[in-house]
Amino acid sequence: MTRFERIWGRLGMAALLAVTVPCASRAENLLRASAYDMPTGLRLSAGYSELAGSPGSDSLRTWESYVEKRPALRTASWIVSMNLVMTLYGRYIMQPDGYGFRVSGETIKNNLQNGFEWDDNSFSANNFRHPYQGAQYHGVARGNGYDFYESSLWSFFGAWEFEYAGEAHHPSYNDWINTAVGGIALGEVLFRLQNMVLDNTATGSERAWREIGGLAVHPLREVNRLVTGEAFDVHQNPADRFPSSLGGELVIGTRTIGEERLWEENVTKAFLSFDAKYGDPYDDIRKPYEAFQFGAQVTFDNKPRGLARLEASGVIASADVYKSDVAQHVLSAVQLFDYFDNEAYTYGGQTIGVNYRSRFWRGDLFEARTTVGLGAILLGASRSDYFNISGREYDYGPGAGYGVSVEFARRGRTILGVSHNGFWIHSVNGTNSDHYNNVSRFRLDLPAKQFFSAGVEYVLFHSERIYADYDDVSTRNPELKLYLSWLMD
Amino acid sequence: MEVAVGLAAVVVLFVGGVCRAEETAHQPVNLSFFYPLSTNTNPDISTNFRLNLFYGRVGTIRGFDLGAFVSRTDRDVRGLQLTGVYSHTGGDIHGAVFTGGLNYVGGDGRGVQVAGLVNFNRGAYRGVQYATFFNFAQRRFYGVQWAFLFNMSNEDSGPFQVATVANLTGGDFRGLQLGGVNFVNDSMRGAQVGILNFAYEYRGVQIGGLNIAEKAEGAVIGAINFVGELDGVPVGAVNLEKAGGNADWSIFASNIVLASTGLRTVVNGFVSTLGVGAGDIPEERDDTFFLSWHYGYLFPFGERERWQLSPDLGFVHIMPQSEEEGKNNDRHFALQARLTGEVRLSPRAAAFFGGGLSVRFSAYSSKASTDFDPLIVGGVTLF
Repeated sequence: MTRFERIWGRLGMAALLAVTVPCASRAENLLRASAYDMPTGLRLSAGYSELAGSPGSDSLRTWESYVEKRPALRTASWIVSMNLVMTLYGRYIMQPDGYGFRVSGETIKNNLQNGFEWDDNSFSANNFRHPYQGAQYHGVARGNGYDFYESSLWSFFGAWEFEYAGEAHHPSYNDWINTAVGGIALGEVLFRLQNMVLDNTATGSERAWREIGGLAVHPLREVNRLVTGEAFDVHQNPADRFPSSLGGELVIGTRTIGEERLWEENVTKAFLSFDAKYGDPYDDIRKPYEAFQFGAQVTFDNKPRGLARLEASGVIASADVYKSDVAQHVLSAVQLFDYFDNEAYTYGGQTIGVNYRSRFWRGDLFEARTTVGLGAILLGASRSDYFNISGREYDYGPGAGYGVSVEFARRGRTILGVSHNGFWIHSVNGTNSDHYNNVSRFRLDLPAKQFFSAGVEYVLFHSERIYADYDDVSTRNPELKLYLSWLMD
Repeated sequence: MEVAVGLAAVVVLFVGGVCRAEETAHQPVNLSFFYPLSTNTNPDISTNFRLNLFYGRVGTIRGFDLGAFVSRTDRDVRGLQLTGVYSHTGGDIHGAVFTGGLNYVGGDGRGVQVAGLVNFNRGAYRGVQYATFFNFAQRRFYGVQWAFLFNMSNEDSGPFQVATVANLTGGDFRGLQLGGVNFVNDSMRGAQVGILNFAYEYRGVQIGGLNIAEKAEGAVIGAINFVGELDGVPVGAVNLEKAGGNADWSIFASNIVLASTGLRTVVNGFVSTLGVGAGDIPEERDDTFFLSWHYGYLFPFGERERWQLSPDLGFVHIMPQSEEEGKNNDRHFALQARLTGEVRLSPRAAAFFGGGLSVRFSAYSSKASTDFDPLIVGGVTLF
């Protein structure tokens, strides 16, 4: 072990202690308070213990008071510490004999001199794990009081710092963009979901479980709460803790995917998915991500990995084009995060775009919604049929995308949905190619009981990959899903 | 190239300078490079002929307008307008407007609008609209709306809306809607043809996969029909009516299919039974499955309409599951005609029995051979 590695290791241990010791101290306070003060409920941690008596939230310290100072040093420390922990994890656990995390002054210097290039990591590492890492940067900045845009800068900072000082190999464009931009999308989504899980006015075991839940949703921000004492103190919740509307759908079923035709070389597997609608994109959106959609799907025995889908779509800003008693049209700027990885289709992308949404409704009974969207794909990853120079099985490049959808709902529940999305990726790293990916969906739901429905969904994945140096490839994979869904409104 | 652009700029500036000295509210010919690098500095002029390279701006056009990129007219356009990317008209349009990208009209329109992407009208429109993405009329629309994706009209519209994805009308519709999803917020008179059709109330016909209406007079033809109150004929695999329809569970057997079960729906006497079955008796194959749809009419008679007579016609899709030598292992089908009598045994159950003819085709092919079988069927219906 080199001297640098020893120093690096000690710094890591120090960071872990910095996290765990205050946690232990605060946890002790919480337990003590829970046991002693539960009847009156509010005298909790030592630092903010003047709130005995009525739990009327107006008398409580505001959430904003925790974050009004927006501590840059603390935020930067958390980000750097997290990067350090990740480096140590990579160096000693994930790749004990590997080169990738043997960071030293020399590697940092080399990285600074060399600048950015492209890396050869796996699809899930680059398109899921890095964005999730970036989400922690964004979330901890949000938890320290920075707004969406300011926190986005912290995501870029964290990604940049990790690329230069967290890994031994040269920094890569794809990591920086995926970590930062994907981190902004996932980070804001997780931050808002975590706000709903947490309840700053709760006490006792409920509070403990909520904080544990918060840790699962957004770990670094929760650690920040533990250290600052926010996790133990009874105080007001953020004013926008809950959105104007909230809906979720848990779906379980089977999905059959075939080659060319549904009944040719098909495989059938079970899947479980969850999709959430946070806020209403037709509302007056004042802050980014006051309305977003978030979805994930796990397919059992999926190839190559269980996580088959992860997507987020947030409204950055919007304006009413027209609104009446029966119709509304809204123009929105949106950010999209896409991760699809199954036997038929591999695509990951960071997209900024514009949506034109329309809805027509008849009282509370019937509603039709349409969306037309255009987007610029800042960085897209699409399956390659030929091992490229870096050894990856996918190509990277910018591109453009479009989407169109129509939905029909009865009593707020979507009965029929049809959509089509197209993506064009011009590869700038990997094979010399252009990728045209299309996904068409048709979904029919038949409500069975108040919160349950049975449904069928047909999805067609169609890709054309045009190679400069190899034969072109065209794939067509239909997918049929049969499922039961549970709606959580 | 640079010389040409430079010369053009000089000419535009020169002409503009000359004209400026004697500028009036009307300029018969207007040339523009990028307004205000144009023959007009006053954006409020009217003109009969405009030619603009990048961006032109005038008040009114009566005549011909040609723009390579962006054309802006703050008030009305009458005549023919051709624009490469974006046309913005603050007032009304009368005539023909062709735009490569987006066509925006702040007032009413009459004539022909063609856009590569979107026609967007803040007012009412009479005439023809075509757009690749969508057509939008904020107020009434009368004429033909044709779009690759969507047609939208916030108020009353008709008589034709044709779109691949959806036609949406916020008010009444008179005429034909043809598209993936058709939506009429109030009353529809005419026809809707699509995957999903919705009209709050209609007089005419809905033809599609899923048809929905609160009140209907006429016919509804589709896979699933859901109507609050229907005065007319439902033709579909599943017909549901809130006002007086029935949805029953039926269990039956025949001399052809060993056991079947299915959903029987009855609306205005028209009965539709969608069933699944197993066991091919004539072929002696247990692992053959059947999907069937029978459609007919119920004639009630007797005291308190306890008895019912039902003639129907049916289609049966036959799916052998295994390969057996000497047997037909392909998917094939049968057509059936039946006459059944039903007696109500209790408020929640009835028994039926009848017979007919079944014609089995050996394949989905014009060369298929046919077998004629007598048909005997019986079962119970649970309400």
